[in-house]
Amino acid sequence: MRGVAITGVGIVSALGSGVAAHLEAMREGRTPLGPLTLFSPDDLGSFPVGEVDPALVPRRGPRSIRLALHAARQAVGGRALKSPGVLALGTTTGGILDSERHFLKHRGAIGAEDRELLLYHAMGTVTDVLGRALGLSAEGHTFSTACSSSANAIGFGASIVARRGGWALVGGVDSLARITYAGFHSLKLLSSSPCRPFDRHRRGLSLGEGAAFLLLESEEQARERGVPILGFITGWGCASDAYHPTAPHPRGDGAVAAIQSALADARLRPSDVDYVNAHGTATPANDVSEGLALQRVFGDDCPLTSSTKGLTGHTLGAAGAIESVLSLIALSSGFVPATAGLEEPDPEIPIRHVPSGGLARPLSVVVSNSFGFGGNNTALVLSRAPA
Amino acid sequence: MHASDPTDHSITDAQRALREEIKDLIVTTLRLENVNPRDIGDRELLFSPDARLGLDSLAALEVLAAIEFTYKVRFPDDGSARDHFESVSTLAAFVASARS
Amino acid sequence: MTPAVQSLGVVDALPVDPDPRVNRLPRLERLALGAAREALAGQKAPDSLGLVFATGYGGLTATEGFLRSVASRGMAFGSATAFHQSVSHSSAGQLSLLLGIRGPVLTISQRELSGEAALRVGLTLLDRIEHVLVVAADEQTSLLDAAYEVFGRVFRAAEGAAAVLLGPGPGRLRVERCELFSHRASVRRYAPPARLGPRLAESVRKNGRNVFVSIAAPTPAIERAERAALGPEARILEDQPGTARVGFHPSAGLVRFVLAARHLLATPGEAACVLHGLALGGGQSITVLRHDA
Repeated sequence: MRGVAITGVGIVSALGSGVAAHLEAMREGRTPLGPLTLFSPDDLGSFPVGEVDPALVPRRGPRSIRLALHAARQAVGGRALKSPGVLALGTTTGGILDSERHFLKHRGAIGAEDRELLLYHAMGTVTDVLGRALGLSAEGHTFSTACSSSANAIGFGASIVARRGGWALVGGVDSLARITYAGFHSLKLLSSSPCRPFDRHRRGLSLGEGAAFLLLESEEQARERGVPILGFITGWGCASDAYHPTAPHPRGDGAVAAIQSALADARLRPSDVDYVNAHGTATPANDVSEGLALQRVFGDDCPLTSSTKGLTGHTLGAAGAIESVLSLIALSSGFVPATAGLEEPDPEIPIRHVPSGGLARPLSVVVSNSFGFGGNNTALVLSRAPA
Repeated sequence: MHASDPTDHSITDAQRALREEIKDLIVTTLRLENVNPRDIGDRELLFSPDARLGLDSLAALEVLAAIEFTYKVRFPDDGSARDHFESVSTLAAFVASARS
Repeated sequence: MTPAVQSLGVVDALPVDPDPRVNRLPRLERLALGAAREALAGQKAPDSLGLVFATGYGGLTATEGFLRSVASRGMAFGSATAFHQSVSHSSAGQLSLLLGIRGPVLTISQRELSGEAALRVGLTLLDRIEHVLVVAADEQTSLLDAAYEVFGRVFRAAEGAAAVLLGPGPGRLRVERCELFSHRASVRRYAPPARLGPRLAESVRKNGRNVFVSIAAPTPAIERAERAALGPEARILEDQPGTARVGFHPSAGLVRFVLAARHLLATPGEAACVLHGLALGGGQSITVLRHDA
């Protein structure tokens, strides 16, 4: 894809709010994952999560909408986005933090009381309300492809800008919720200690929440308006395993296809890639199949690779966007974050890990991976210079 | 391989009852329409791909949750739980020892 | 080159499959699979194929099932199967598995415009992949009926699924336009008639003669507003004798697309159909399907 400039960024997560806070957190490498306080885990017990500080985003009101608005406002800044554009957002939870309370109270049915809690259940409402709150005139698209939701939203918005110009506000959001906490527990995928991606002793993922948005504009329009260009989205690749409802393809077929397709979209070769922000959830299955996929794409010439889920937790539908922003921060600052939580690399996973403490290194091209349930694999390519 | 191996005189009535309960629990939890719990062998393999029942990893998780809830026990979360899921007999043995 | 509609599929009742394992799949997936199979019938699935799956509120049955298991047994004992099925993307994942689709597979959820939004996304994907199967499905559940009461009554509630295979051709129908707009409206209302009317009227005017219209008609009041905007001369598909009136559900927009397409194919002399879509929260869509003369 050519000419898709990034002119605005916003992010909120367990690491804090805004680009500067996230760069500092990546440098420090200190994990914020801790006990759940947003709701009571009841008999489930405490698995570490990445919660957004209540001082940043108050806990009243529909949480996904609040998180999304917080980040989207940073991305839009003071800009008046007049012409018709695209609002594309990825989410898996939507307004479920409230609607699940209704279902739990009425034991799974719809009851007569507290029906207001259902108001934001549909995922599309987050996009509608966000657009309205920002005063945008935009076609709205809500992507819900599990853990790759916002990566696909970004890719889609970028492809529209590449083709017809204009602007696209793209990103994603997910809040912590009982359904995902209990749900991932039922699949035995939650780690009882902060997650350790690619580590030989990894025992599963740690959930997180947050939101991130990018404002994309045609490069031509950005230069005409004299707005600073922070980077470029140059590639989007998406491919399906078609293998199993929940397990990833053991040889990473879909992941390989997605990364190769993204690189082809960017007209780049594997050797052009300086850093890979991995999906790296710290589940036994994902890390091994992702490692294999990276080896198949890059051969012996594997770029520096790290997972930032030890810093933010697995933010599910928001992960693609949050990690794209972290990748953009790495690109613009020339700092490559290490994998927080990694102490003893698993010898079965052939990855070139970023040294502990991170690395100062100028970057030109970053690949960000997001692999979802149901075999959906998405890769984005971000570049510092135009394609 | 039918019912509770009739030659297994070593198990007590209580153990036999537990095995039958677990068979009922498996059939009910997984909604196995054409399976009679009495036809599940005590040592019949449950979860391997060539097993008659051929249950998959999701089914195993369902049964795990049902057993934990019903018997107020907890399977270990270090990956060793899968050993207990080989057959009704191994599941019953785990429940009995976890309860004692 | 405007993309061609290569084939279509639609179901309005739960299909029964010869394979018992398929019949054990969640209801939503069975509806979607029925429509998808009809669209792919009589042809091998193309090698270069992507899937865009749309659902307004899909997975509601599984979400409810999981939360019920948690409510009755406790947070520590949720049903793993119900959870994984409640993930919106699981239907698309299952479809891609059953149909062998390895290209891009996406799930869109845009309330009552989900079908149209999926069509819009599918059309963009044709830059990257030769064929795209767009499938929309929603199931009717008492849960959804009750939830709609929170937002204002809906009449003729129904369930169904539709599928459209898009590609470079051959095909006698082309999707000339598929646009989505948003108007200011509360989450529980449709766009006000004063706002939705002009665009609808203009889109019919612009498209020449021998054009008929398919209206969204989610409620009697909105239907009146649509008819008022179109004027008495407008030829409305839903009024044509012998045309099935599609019950309301979030995927109904794509069902109407399929019915309009079949009407166009069966009726020489009809040039095009303008399809109007509306969603709670202020979304509106205009799709123009044209017959290649």
